[in-house]
This record gives sequence, structure tokens and C-alpha cells, in this order.
Amino acid sequence: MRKKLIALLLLCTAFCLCCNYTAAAETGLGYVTDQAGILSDEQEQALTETAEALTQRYGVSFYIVTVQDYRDYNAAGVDKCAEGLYSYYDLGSGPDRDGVLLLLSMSDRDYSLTTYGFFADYCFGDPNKNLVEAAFLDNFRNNDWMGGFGDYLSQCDDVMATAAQHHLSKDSEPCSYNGIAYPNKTYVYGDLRESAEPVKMPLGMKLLIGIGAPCLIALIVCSTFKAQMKTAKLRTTAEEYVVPGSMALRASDDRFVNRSVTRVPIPKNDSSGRGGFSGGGSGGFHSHTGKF
Amino acid sequence: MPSQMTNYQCPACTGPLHFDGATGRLRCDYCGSEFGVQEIEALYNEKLEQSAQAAVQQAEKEEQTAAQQVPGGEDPAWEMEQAGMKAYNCPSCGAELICDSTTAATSCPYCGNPTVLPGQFHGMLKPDFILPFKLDKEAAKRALRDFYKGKKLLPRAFSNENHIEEIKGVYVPFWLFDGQGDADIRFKATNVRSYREGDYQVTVTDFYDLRRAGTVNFSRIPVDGSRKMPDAHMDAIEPFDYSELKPFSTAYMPGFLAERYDVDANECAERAKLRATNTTEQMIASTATGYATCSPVAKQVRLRQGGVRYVMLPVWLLSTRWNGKSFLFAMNGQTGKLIGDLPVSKGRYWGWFGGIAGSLAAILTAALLLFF
Repeated sequence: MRKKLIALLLLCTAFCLCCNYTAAAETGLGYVTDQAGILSDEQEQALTETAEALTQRYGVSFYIVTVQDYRDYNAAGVDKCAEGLYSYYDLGSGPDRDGVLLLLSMSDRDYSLTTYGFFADYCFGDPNKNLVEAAFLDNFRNNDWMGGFGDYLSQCDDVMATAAQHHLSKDSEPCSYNGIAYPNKTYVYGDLRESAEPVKMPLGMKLLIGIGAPCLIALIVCSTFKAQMKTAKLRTTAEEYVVPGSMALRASDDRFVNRSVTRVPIPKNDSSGRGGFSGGGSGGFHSHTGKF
Repeated sequence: MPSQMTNYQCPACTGPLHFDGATGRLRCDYCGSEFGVQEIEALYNEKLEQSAQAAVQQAEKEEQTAAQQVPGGEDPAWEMEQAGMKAYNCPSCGAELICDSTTAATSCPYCGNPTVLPGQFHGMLKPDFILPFKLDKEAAKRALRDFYKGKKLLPRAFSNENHIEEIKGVYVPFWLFDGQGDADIRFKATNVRSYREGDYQVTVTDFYDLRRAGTVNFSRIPVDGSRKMPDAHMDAIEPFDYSELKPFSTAYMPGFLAERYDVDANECAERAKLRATNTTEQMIASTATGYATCSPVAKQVRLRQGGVRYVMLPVWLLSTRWNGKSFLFAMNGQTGKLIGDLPVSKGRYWGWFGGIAGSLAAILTAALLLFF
């Protein structure tokens, strides 16, 4: 009876969640979705145009969603809510469905900055997510919603422009997004903003490798040549004089003594974001969450 | 005082006989006649015995004379003995030859006849076996020329001048040791396996105590019994093919030099023991397999020495001089294996070093600057 009750509750919860997402779906989810009603129509229109332009330029979709309380959609967390919305509405661009979604939950002033897709994740590593957060948080803390969303899109534009300059590539294969070609170039994850130039090996290191390694190889080769010049050597073994088949073992004992078992936790690839929580994300999502 | 010596003369023309390694027979330099070793042995056996007896009598006589004289006096024979030298008369031309006390076969510097000093191989000094030369002087010269080839650091002048100062075929005294190596070794060993279990990497290390004990038999480990011969050279020309050993006969010696041993078997046994125990340890340890790590913690290795044989083995010695330094090469007179230390040209060394390092550095640095 108890099991049946639990099963029924779970079914109801699933149904409610589905209904909630469905309710949102009925209203549609464009580049800007203001369920919380904090933007005017003009502001929403302006932000939509900017987000759409960025999406077309970079092949990564940029979304703004405001809700009254994320728990109405997914009580597991603001990031889970954002990820649920992203999945449910099949958001994103290109084959990898690259996109960035900023979700504000007004009741407890929670936000989630969520990325999805290889290219979006690649461009918006933790340092760049921190930059984007820094750009909008001060506005939101002052209830300057339009200013905050504007700074969010503007910062995203900067990040993507820098990425384009760096000719990003995926697994060393040239790739292209919406006509922007990205031939092979080196890229350090999350390091776009700090470095205007592609990351290069320091000159000293190049010289050290360029000169040191050949010297080492030359030394080994010359030592081999030199060894050929000295062939008169005392012998310390007598393997040629062993009577064939004469080796006889009279004792061959292998005794097990003890066993040691060590368990080491496998480190996760998560890293903490500034001013919020950075999650490795389930199903390919990467989110920064926090309060504004 | 001069003592007796024998040279092998051609029964046909009394010309000097030389042992020819290629044919394994004694050959007359003058009439070209060839004789089997056994044939000549039989012919000269009696003569040799007489010579040996004469040598012994001469030695006794010398001892008596020396006893009558005050040591350190003016007796030339005694002085030569002190200096490790001996005097002999060449049976062909009668010239007096001064040789080392260990010399057993030589050639007269006046008439060139090869001569054997039979007293050196009398009684306990007689070797058990002899391995006749198979390769001649020309083969040794060719081997030296070939040895120079492909040596990138050899000074050009050294190989171009290529003047061999001296080349001599020597029967070198060797002791051959039999024995049984016995090793008892204890090891600590581990086996490690690693696997993932949920969010944990699990490493399981099993520890074992191992013991291996056993024996290895050795046959005829050679150690040269001559102080004049550099041990490193004699070791490096090994191995010899003992299947061609012959019962000792001085008939194999004409045309070559020979020395009797001056390092006895007990002294040489230490080197044989070292080699045998090292190999025993290696072989017994090699049976401890199937472990990720295995290191010995205690060992007891010893050699039970077996029989010892005294043999004469054929060695070509070639010496050259360059820039005031002597370079000695030794060639196995049976197998042709030649060894010796060569001079290193500093110019060539740094030339090669610079060439390799420079060209690689140019390519690598350019690649690094262009692509990284």
C-alpha cells in the first residue's frame, strides 16, 4: 500500500512538472521570455533583436528567461530548472545545440547561467562565465533589469568575438559556425579573455627545447661512436660456458605475505565559479548559479 | 749459461718448419714439403726428451754453481735469472738467445729459425691441450684493416698510415676451469592491479616472499695465465671453440711465440669464480618471473670448483704506435675476432657533435618558432 502511495506521488510530481513545462511551452520560449514580467514590451523586443543578432553571428544561441519562482518548474534547483527548460524546448543552435541561457528567479533572487553544446562550453569556460556574471550582477542587485540583460548580451558578444579571433577548433579539426571559419589553432580552455593572442610557448622554452634536445641527441650518438672505439673489456659473466641444460632448481617457493588495498577518489572536472556555484552538469549542461 | 733448445727442421732439406694454421700441417719454408703433426712429433719425440733432460740437468748444474757463488756476484747467468731472463743457443746457427724466463717458443733473430724451448713444457708445466692457429698473419692484418672501417671517430691519419709496428702469433697460456655455481636467493616481489569501482580508483598490491635456489654447471671458463697479456684483451677475444683442442704438442708451435704460465691456477681461479657466480646469480634470479617488481633481499652464491686444465690458445697480437702512444690489438687465432682500443679524434668527435646538434637544432627551432 505504502509503495503504491509513493508511486502515485511520483507520478503526480512528474505529471505536474510536465504540465508546468507544457504551460510554459504554450506561451513559447523565444530568445527573451519574461514570465516574471520585469521587462516592458519595448525592452523585451530590443533584447530579442540583440540576442537574435548574436545568435546569427556566432552560431550560439543566447537566451534570457525570467520566472517568478523556479520551483514552479523544477524544485531541484535553479540550474536544474534552466537545464529542464533548455532540454524541453530543444533550445540551441547547430548540430550540437550550442547555447547560453540566463535564468532569473525573482522570488529568492536566484540566477543560473547555463551553457550547453561543445562550442558554447568551450567559449564560456569558468573564467568567462565569471566575467559575464560580473557584468550583470551589479545591475540586477540594483533592480536594473534592462541594464543587466544588456550587459549580459554585450559581454557574451565580447567573449564570442574574442573566440572568433582565436580561430577556435574542435579536437584539432577545422570547424565552421554560420559561415565563420575556425581553422586549427591552439586554445586553452577558459583562457580567452585573459589572452588576446593565441597561447604561445615562451621563447626561452622554445630555445631550450630547440637547442637542448638536439645537443642531447648528438651526445648520445657521439657516445655510441666513442663506445665503438673501446672494445677491450674485462668480462664479468660466463654465460657462454654454462653447460646446456645444467641449471637445476632445488627450491622455488612463492609465498603470499599480505595484500594492501588503496581507494583513491577519482577527481571530478568541476571547478568553482566566483560568486556562485559551478556544476559539472548532467547531460552536457554547465551552470553557474548564485543570488543577485 | 746457455741451455738447450730445439727447432723443427725439415726431414727432407733440414730447412725450418712452420706450423700452417690453414692446413694444420708443418710446412718447410725452403722445399715446400709438408708433414703431419704426428709424423714430426714421432720424429722429434726422442730429441725433445733428450733436450728436456738436458735442460733439467743444466738447471741443476746452474743451481749448484749459483750455490757456490755469493748471490749478487758477477755470474752473468745468475744476474739474468734475477732479471727474469734466460739464455739459449740456437740449434741452427749457434747464436746465443736471451729470452724471458717464461718464453717457450720463439725464433732466432739471426737465422730466423723457429725454435721451441722444450724445458718450459716439462713435467707440471706441460699443458694438457693446445688449440692450433687457424688464421695466419695476413688474416690478422686484414682483420685490423676491417676493424678500422666504420669507426667514425678514428683519426684519419691513424687509419691512413696504418703501420703495424709488430705482429706476432702467440700461444697464450690459459687455465680452463670447470665448476658448479650454487645460488640461494630470497626476493621481495609485488603484483599490482588497479581498477575503477564507482567513483574510486582501487589499487590492490599483493606482496610475496620468494626463494630460488639451484645450481648451474660451468665448463672450461678461460682465464689467461700470463701477466704480460692484458686481461681485458684476452677476455674480449673469447670465445674459443674448444672442440678443436688437440693434445698438447710442441709441433704446433714452430713459427709462433709461446709463453708458459706465470700466474698459477689458484690465482686465476678468483676471476673464474667471479664470472661463474655472477652468471649463476643471474640465471637463478631469472626464474623469479610473473611479478611486477622483484628485488633480491638476501643471497648466498658460491662456486664449487671442478677440474682445471692448462691449455695454450692461439692469439695474434698486433701493435701500432701513433702520436707517441702504443695501441695493442688482439685477434683470436681461431675465430678471427679482433679487439683493441682505438684513439679518438677530438676534432671528429666535436665535428659529429656539432653537425648532428646543429642540423637538428636548426630544424627543431624553426619548427618551434613557426608552429608553436
